[in-house]
Amino acid sequence: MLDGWRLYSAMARMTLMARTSYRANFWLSLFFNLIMVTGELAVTLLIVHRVHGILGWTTYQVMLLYGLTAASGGVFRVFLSELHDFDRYLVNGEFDAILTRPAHTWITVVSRSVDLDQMGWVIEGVAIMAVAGSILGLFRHHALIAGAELAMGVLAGSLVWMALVTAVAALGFFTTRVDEMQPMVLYGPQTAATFPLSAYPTTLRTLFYTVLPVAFGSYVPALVVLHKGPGPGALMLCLGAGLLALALALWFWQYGVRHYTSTGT
Amino acid sequence: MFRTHRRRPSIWYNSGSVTLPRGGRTTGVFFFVARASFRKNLAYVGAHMANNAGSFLFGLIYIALWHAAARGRTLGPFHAHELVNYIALSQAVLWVSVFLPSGLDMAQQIRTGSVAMEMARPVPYVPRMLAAGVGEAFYNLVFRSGPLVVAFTLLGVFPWAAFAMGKGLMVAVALVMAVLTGVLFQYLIGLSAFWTVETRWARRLFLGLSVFMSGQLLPIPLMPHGLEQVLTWSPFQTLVSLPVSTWLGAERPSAWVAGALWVLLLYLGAYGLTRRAQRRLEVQGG
Repeated sequence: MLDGWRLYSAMARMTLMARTSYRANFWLSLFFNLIMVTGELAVTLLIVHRVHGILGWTTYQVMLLYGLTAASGGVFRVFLSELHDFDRYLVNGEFDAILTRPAHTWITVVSRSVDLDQMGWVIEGVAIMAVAGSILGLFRHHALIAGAELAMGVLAGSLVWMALVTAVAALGFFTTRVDEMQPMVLYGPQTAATFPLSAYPTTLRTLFYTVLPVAFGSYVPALVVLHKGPGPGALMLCLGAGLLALALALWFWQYGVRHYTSTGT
Repeated sequence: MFRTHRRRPSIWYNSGSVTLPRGGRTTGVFFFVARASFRKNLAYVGAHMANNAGSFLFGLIYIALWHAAARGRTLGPFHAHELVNYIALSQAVLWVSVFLPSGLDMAQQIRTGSVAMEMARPVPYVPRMLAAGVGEAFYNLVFRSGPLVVAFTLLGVFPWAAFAMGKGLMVAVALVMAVLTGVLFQYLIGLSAFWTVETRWARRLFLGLSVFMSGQLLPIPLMPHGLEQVLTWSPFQTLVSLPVSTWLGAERPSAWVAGALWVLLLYLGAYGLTRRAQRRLEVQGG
């Protein structure tokens, strides 16, 4: 475990240094991410505003939910970007070389890139949470507690997204194509998580609490922060759910590796 | 399996099992390119079905949202059930106008330098690439939008009742305009690689703007008044709002005028920028 972490930090530091050589690229990506996030956020808020709130959730409460989802979703885009683009490892046979390395395959793959270009999601997600939280008065009396709760929410969400991106990449060991499954496993749930899950029918809600457990990454933490039901203890449940999801995803990854067949290209 | 006309070079369009056109008529070539573009995708139908499941999930999410949020109400020109219909339709339309191959894969041509060969061919480059884009859109219509229409019909949310035969032609024209606008946008994204090397950013800009401005999730008539006026005249409304509103009988004449104007402007822009790009073109080595 410790060796894996050392290897990850050493390799990640190297890719980080290589990436920071292209500063213009970083600022450009931040700008275009800002446009994407603004577009998505504007539509989300306009929908809520137009219908005068969704099932008791006001516009700014949904904004906070959006910020939580964007920030935690951004973490996997930065640190697990190689899994996000895992197709090429399978299609071009690059995974063959990974198998020859003397380290855990998952750590070897994810440490090959830290995609700073995607940092915009995290920065903008945090900024959106800060703005929404201030308007909602979350930081007026117990700023530290609210901040810590939000940070735990982002952490739980990051674990859930890491689990999902790992699981969908592992599916690639059986299907070769990863990108075509991402809308179902990543983008769809990510969009769903930006709205209160109470708006969805039971089937979808069950899906988002179990197979695609994004509820623990944004909705439940938001309920806690906004005092809409569960107490702070629910955040521990979210972290536990995130860890469990990641453990299951890593098990599935190992299972996939054992069944990996090279494309031979 | 791979049949080609013997008197023509076989490298015209690398697209799998194709038959090159007989005779030298340019329109035949464009049809051939579009058909080749359609056929090359047939190899990935299975993978695309997995993606369709994702689109279906997106549709379900927004349908559930509008259902919960607008139940029993009328918002602008739409009743609650029409908003649900709107989302089902827009998910199907997105595949022929917004979710087309990024930059029509031109960035690859520009990076490898093969664009020089492509531009030197005796058939004009711009309409040829646009024909390839139309082929992609037609494939998406059959294998991406089609399954979604079936799924939403089974779910009882696809607005067949709103479709009157008299409107069929109008809907078809609106869809053609949506395809042309989408293909022209992708062409311009691809062309941007002449100046920026990669098209990732242009693609993100397009997607970011289209989420907000095309009316794919929030119908344009439901936007705040000033914004609605601006968006009605934007090229993005042609991508989704125009065909969907036409189907539902909620389109505005100004949207048609704006759509036609933008198709023309985007085509002229594509042509002019291609000429500039050709002047920049420099091929190294042999």
